Amino acid sequence: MNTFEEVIDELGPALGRIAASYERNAALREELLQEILFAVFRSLPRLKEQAKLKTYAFRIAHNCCVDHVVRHVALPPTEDVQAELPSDGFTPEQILLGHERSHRLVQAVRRLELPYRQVMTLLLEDMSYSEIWESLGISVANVGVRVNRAKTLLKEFLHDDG
Amino acid sequence: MMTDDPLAEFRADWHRQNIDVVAVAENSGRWRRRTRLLIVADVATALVALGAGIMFALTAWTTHDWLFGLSAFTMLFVCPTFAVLLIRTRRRSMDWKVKTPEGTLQYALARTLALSKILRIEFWNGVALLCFVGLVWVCVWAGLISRNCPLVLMSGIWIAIAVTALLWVKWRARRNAMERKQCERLLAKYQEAKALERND
Repeated sequence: MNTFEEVIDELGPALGRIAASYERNAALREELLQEILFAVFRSLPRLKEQAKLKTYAFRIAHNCCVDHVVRHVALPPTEDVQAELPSDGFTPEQILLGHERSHRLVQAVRRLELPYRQVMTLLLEDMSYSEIWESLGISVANVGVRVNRAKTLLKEFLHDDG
Repeated sequence: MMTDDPLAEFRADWHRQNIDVVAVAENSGRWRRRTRLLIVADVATALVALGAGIMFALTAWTTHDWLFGLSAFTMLFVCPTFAVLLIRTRRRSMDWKVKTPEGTLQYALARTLALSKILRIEFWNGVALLCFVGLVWVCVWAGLISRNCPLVLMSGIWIAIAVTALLWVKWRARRNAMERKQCERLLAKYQEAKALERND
């Protein structure tokens, strides 16, 4: 059985990246991540196969995020605060470039409609098509179609932005 | 930056985000306590309402006072029912694993529709409280209840509660309508995606 701290250590950064693809505001993003982590932790007793923790947690994360999008529709749009990047072993130019590219990618992912954003974030988290299918409950064939469409849209958004 | 399949570069850029989980871990205890506290508060409210209801009922029985009788009815039946409903809703709202993202949206849409019905009930609840105050003063006028200082004070409090509730209902109904529209818009995007998948 995983403890809350183990869940944070193991999945915290990945779940944080998923939360970031839904929420621009830093404070709300942190709140959303806490909500996700807590929901994952509460659902752990019902996880049958420990090996599927990641798939299970990502499904819960996307469900929490979708609910967050609905609940926060009344809030006015906020400024997008760029997160700082780790600086270990990089030159300032590399950090700046990496920062810029990462930020542009996250912004482009946020522009994707939910069906495409969900497959794309899971793909970026190194998940296979069958794992995405398990997380989102859509067929493997449809995962492929959505991934292709999401990639095309993402390239377009990055091209427009650049 | 672009190649035929830029996924590897996307992944590298994606993983470059710095997610501060330490701060989240530090705040997580507060978050867990808050959720537990809300459920405890609901239970405590129900128990207090039950206790007060029983006390009012006994007083009404011994003094034959209509005011205590009406208060006992409200405390014994209305407050605990609302508390139980709140607890059940809170517990169910935490159950995420059975849903898909699209299912979550359908659930959220159903929730907004249910909430609009609840808000209508809440509206009439506020109106009922105002009517209750009116009824009390009719009883005063008819000589069934004696007019005194606490009664005037309580009437003021009840009216303030009812008016606040009605204003809140109005505000929440407007927000709920926005949430419902958002659900419908997002569900339409899933339908569009499915239509494209069928065509492919």
